[in-house]
Amino acid sequence: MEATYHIHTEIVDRCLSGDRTAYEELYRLYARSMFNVSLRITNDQAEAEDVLQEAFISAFQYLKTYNRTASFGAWLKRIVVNKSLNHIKRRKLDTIPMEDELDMVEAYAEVDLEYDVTQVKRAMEQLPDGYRTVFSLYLMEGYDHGEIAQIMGISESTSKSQFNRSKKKLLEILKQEVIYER
Amino acid sequence: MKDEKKDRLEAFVKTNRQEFDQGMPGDHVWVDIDQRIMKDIKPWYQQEVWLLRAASVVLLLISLFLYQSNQKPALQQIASGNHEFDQVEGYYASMINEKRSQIDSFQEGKVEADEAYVVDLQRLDAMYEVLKEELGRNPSKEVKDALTLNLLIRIDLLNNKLQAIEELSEEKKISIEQAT
Repeated sequence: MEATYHIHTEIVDRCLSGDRTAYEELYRLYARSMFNVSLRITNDQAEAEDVLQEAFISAFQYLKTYNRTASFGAWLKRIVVNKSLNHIKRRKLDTIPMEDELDMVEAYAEVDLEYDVTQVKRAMEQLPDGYRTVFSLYLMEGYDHGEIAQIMGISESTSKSQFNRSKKKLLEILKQEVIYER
Repeated sequence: MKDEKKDRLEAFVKTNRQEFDQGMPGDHVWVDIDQRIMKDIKPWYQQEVWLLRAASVVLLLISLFLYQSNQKPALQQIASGNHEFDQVEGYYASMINEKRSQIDSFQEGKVEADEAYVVDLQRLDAMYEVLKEELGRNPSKEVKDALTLNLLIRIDLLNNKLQAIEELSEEKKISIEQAT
């Protein structure tokens, strides 16, 4: 971990000293994981590509301001998350549903499901933007609720309740898929 | 029971975290980024980092220069009495002899009498004799400085000659390697 951090710091230094190949190295190192971060939030391949492009351009332009208190990856991820959130806000397709058929969801919570990555991914894609964002920021990207609250401009308790609801909703979708497949 | 189930989902995601990163961006993303940033990236010599590095080198050179000019009076102090000047002279003379024998060994004794550096050294030697006579009559700081300078110029000349010989032999070596 420590070694990885140093290797990437070295590449950042090379970028700052005008080494053009270092920029592509950084991109190749982080493109895939950052693309997936954005894809989970935007839920759209083309939009996630736009975010990736914007995020890397911003990161490269503001590389001088990266103060190295966090790893480069963590810094870049924050840019990707913020840009992804801006994209879904612009889209205004849906807002975070605060009350959403919770009683119905409870009924499925007890069902014993065998999880499968593809199924969980597909179920995540069906979550409303707000749920999916909190779900992936917490469970996939490893932010805590305090950080999510700050990133999304909501309270910590909202982040917690949204996460719990997103899980219930996800279980509901998974259950429906299981029924459908049978 | 319910909590266990939720935790099971969380545990499942955490265990299989890598598999959730299956998406791949298209190649055009990098092409676009590359085009955009290359306009903004200054070449290395326009980078602040390099300007700072250049500035620090200049600063180092200035401080070295200042340090050496502060050292000079010390050298001049050594040469304050004739006896002390003899020591300085002896030191430089041995240095000069050493460099001359190095050159001789490179050229296997075949030193051309009309070679520019040999002529220069002869002139400096003549000047040195005159200055040495002057020192006998007038043992001033100026004369001692002129004598020291004369010796330093000789060392400089010999250094240049040595360097030229080394470069030449290096070139020969390379051309031999290429030919074989």
